[in-house]
Amino acid sequence: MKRRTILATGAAAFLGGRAPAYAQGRTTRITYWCWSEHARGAQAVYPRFREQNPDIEVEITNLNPQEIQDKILVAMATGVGAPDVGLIIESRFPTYPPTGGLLDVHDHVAPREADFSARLRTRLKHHGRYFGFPYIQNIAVMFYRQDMFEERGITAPIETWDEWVGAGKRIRDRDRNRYMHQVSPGAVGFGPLLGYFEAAGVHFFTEEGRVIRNNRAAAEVLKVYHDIVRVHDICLLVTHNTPEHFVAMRTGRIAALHSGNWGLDRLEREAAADAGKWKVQHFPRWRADGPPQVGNWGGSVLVVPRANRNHAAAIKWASYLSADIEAQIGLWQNGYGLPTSLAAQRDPRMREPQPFLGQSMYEASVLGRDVFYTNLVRDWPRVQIEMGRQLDAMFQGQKSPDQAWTDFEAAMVRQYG
Amino acid sequence: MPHRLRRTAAPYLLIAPFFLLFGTFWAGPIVASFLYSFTEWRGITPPEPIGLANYERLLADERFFIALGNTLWMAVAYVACANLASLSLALVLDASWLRLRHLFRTAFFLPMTISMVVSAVIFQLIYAGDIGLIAKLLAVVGIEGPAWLRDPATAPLAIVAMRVWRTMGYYAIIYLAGLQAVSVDLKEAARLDGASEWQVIRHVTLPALKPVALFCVVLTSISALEMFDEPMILTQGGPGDATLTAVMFVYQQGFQFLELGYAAAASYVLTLVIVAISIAQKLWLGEKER
Repeated sequence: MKRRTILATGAAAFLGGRAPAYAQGRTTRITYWCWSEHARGAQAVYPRFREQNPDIEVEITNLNPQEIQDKILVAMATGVGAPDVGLIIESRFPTYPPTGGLLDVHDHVAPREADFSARLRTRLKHHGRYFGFPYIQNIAVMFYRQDMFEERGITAPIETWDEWVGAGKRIRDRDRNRYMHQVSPGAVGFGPLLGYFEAAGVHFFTEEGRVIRNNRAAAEVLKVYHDIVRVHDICLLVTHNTPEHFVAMRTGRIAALHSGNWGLDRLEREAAADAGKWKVQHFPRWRADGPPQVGNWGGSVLVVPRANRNHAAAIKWASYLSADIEAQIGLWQNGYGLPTSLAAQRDPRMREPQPFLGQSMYEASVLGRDVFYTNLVRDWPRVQIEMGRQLDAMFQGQKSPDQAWTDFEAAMVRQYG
Repeated sequence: MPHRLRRTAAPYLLIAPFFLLFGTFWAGPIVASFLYSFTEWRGITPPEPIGLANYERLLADERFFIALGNTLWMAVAYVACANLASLSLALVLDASWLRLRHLFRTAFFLPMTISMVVSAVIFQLIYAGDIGLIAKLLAVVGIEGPAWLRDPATAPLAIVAMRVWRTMGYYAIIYLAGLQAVSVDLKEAARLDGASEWQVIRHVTLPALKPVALFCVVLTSISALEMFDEPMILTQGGPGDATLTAVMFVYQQGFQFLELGYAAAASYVLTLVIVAISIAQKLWLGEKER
């Protein structure tokens, strides 16, 4: 009898303690993997999402961007360990849908496809269905030190690539320890290099993913990339995202920084003391008689792995980040990711100046430019590694730019035909 | 259950949990990955049997042989330097004239307690172009050092040096333990016969340390042949595949290119290489001992 009394009392206490939670309804907790400026942007827009969705909690996890790509792929393959929502680099997105590990989100994205570009309508689809939410995009820009430019009598914005090289020589002539901007060797150099191909309007894969052979235009771009380091000597050869790269930004060793618009987040953190000295302009036009065309630094896509259970909550979070104008503006203001939402791009807040620059980055570097996108690289990691090998050999002097391109093309033909 | 049967079955029941775990998490995956090495498998879609195609492809893959070659020569460099440095350190730590030996033992062992990733990040700052610690020190005496991690000639050596720094203390402790077993009487007798300190080390101490040396050489070899963390963090296999190791190659194929069957095949070839080298070491050092 005594034992029964104790057990009954314990059960009553347990149920009584739980009652308020059951009375209020359960909160769904989801995980969101992103990186750096996107984590900052997500944190900034999260409170509004919570007001709209009090039953959903989002754990925003800041991871290395390259690690996220690999981890999500592995998690999809194993069926465990994937986040509820993940951020994928747009150029790597084509690898994911064929694995079958992504949730088909067509019914949530298609109704609003008029609000994003035709390019994204193609890129985010697999067999005619959407498997990712458009999120943000990055345009290739040039941040520059206005004080260093003025010191050398250089007036910005510099319109053409030839003028940019000329300005670089003036920077170097004045001080041999300073460079115009940075160029990266290795696999990580592939991303920045793509901006040059795009500014020149060059593809190296067809729309069907086949290699364009005897691509002299592409070989010429690679030669330019080589020459600005080894011939014109205006660029600092430094591996992207290494200590030397950050120190070069901070100490003024480079007068300009080739980056995506997200690079402002990096400048704010690495060169905080130089607020007001840095400005931004568009990537120079490739030819004086060419179109005002710039490349991009890729974009990012929100994906929902199929293996997890919280699909409804994950879709709400991804849809909010992708489609809500306030969220898209918030991401721009806090992480500098250019909205994919065309309605958000038209919002007057896009033209507000960024305090660090003292100017509107959108007006100075994006408006008035056509953004060129190379045809999709089907297997980004493999292409990146192969180009990295050729860049290393080229900058080490083991190959001419022409030979490096020929060898890269041959490797791509062996792989993709 | 009859009493006799219970008594016979009891030991097997007691060791069964170990074998269950061993089978599930060790033997099972090993067998499974061997089977996957004969398939084309992208992860989620079912693996498709392709016979020996992965192994044939490996034989024609230039990057695989570059990775294998890099791994072998970096392993030779690491094994030689790590064992020499550890043994030398152990001899110093065992010297009768050394004071505060516990402090020194702790200090040299400390790098082993630091995570490999943290060590790699620290060395990234040490090796960083012309702003790194080494560059700054060399600049003081007017020397312009190389771009350690961007030069294919120096990048592998930089990685080996980092690994030697990190593991030297650990193997020194093992050698130090071995030195305690060397007969003091033998060394004393040698000294009484007029042998110099170097002759005592060479003719008495080192021969007595052979079993310990074999143990350390095998351990360092296996660890070197599996090198991954340092090149992954410091150089991502570059510049120009100069620091691409076999395990990095497997990682790239499996987790970046999602060619899991091909990665499994590469991992088995690497395993065979490791086994062959271990057997060769055992035979060679064992023969010398006889």
